[in-house]
Amino acid sequence: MKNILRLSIVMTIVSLLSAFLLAELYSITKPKIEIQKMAKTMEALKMVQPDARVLVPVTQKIPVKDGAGNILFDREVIIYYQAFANEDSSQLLGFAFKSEGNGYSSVIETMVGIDTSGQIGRIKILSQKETPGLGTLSEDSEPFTGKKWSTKQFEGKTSKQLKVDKDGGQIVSITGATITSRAITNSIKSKLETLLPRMGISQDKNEEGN
Amino acid sequence: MEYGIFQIIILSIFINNFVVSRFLGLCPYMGVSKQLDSAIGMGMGVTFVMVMASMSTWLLYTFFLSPTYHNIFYSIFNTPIDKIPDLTFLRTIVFILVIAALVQFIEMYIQKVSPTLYRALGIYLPLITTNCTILGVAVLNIDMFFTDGLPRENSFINTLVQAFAAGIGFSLMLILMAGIREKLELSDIPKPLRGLPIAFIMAGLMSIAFLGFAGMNVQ
Amino acid sequence: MSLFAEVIKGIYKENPVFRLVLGLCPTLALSTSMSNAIGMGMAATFVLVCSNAIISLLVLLFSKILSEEGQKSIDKIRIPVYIVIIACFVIIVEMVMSAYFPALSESLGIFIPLIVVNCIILGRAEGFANKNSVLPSIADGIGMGLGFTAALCSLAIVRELLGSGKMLGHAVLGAGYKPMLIMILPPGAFFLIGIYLGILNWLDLRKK
Repeated sequence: MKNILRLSIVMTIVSLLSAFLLAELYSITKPKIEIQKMAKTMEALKMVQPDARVLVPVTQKIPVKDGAGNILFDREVIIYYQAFANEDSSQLLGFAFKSEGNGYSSVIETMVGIDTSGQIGRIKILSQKETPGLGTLSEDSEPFTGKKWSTKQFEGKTSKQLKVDKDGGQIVSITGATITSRAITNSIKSKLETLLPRMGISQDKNEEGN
Repeated sequence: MEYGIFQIIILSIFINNFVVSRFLGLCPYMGVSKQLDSAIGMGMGVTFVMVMASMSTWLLYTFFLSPTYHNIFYSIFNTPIDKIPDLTFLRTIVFILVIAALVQFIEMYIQKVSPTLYRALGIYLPLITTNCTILGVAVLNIDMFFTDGLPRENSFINTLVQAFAAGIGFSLMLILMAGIREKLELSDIPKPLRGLPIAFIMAGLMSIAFLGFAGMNVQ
Repeated sequence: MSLFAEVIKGIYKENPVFRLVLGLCPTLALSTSMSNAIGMGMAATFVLVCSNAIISLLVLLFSKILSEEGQKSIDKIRIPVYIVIIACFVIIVEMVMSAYFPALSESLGIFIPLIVVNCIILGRAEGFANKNSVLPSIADGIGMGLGFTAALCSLAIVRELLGSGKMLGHAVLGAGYKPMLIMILPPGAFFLIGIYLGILNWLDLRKK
């Protein structure tokens, strides 16, 4: 009995000490981690809307519900960004949004810039942990066959044209990594289609652009 | 986009096999694959512990670590959600302790209930605590089946399925490797390559074979 | 043995990866590029040195305050205590890395929390730190950590160069070079470490 007591005391002291130390460190590093995430988003936004001087986040309140369906509180979530060409936010350049899709072994996040007619400008892969060498090719480099695959091919595409070649579309998929290519393409397409009406761009007008 | 159960099984066993494509659990893969019998024992042990560990870590994460309405502080003590401590940063330490305790517990239980099973699995159980596939699958479940600390749809079932499939994938590789290595014992291999070096090269060839599954469309 | 010799032995004579064949998972998974290899090596070295130091300090402390019998009774929870200490340092690495080196933290991914179950660290705690005093334990941690880093880098340098024609992220082999993609894919790692172990065996056999 005395033995068990002794064991639990030692174990408890060790665990409590380490938990306390970690909690301290967590409170120091947490704001830094948040800042890093923000900086990464800002950098990506600059890349997909290089001419924008001001970027305004458009938010939506999403109710957080508990198990029984009661609304607890509203959480503000950024759904897309408006990009303006001048400081006083009068000249709208386009929009930027983040899309997410399940790739081959991870969630692939892409930042997408579009112009006011809904055509895609530039895209930037934010994060992916696909098999090195396969999925990483989506950044821009030369796949197995030597066919150039780059994120540039998305430029000027509308939501209707977003389909990988294996599904009969125009986006050349990475050889050996169709899943990755399809995940990127389809996630952009579906997000774009849900966002277009909110941005005030009609789907028909988008088609006329073809 | 969510994966269905069948897709998770195919993904974890073939496309993202834990051993040859995620590089997890290599130490037992190289250490315990000399004989077929021990490979089967180890594979069974790992699969069982993996499912149990995934289940307990999922429950702990949902009801204790992440500050959501599932948290016991909210559901039992009625603490307001924004006052619940966010303990998700303790994930690693909590998970590894749970796994260590679980393995100890399973060992004691099996010893009492079935001495035959204990003789078959007993020696592998202590090794399983430091097997990175177990902690790996537990962490991966949280990464894949949670958003902002809240379980996604079918999260619990998907977790169990993924753990089971990952265990099967691990056992499959272990058993295949053991079969090859038993044959290798009898073949004429250059002296410096005998033992581990040739086993690694074999693993490389198997890994190439498994790369073929990458082209499979599971969606 | 002098402290310096403790450091040196980890690099070649008792190299954790090539000689003791421990810590294979991060070695093979993260040797795709030099930056990953160095990042992982440093993270593991930090955890190794700190956990070795704390564990040898604890053993010293318990030998001062507890009777022989008391030490024996506490021996049962030795491993769980080691695990808590190691996990604690791993979480420190996890937090500091995602706060100050987000890109590295992302590319090391799941292998940062998995440092906890890296057999090198628990193996050194059990096999060295609990038998030796603080300074040799720290020296052993540094040596083993450097040995691990060296092993990672020796794989990464070949894999990155042949697999993507780059060195530390800079293209060095020119635009005409067709990367051998197999080298950065999983099979390349298995082949390369097999070849390395074969060469080491061959050297040993020749010596005899």
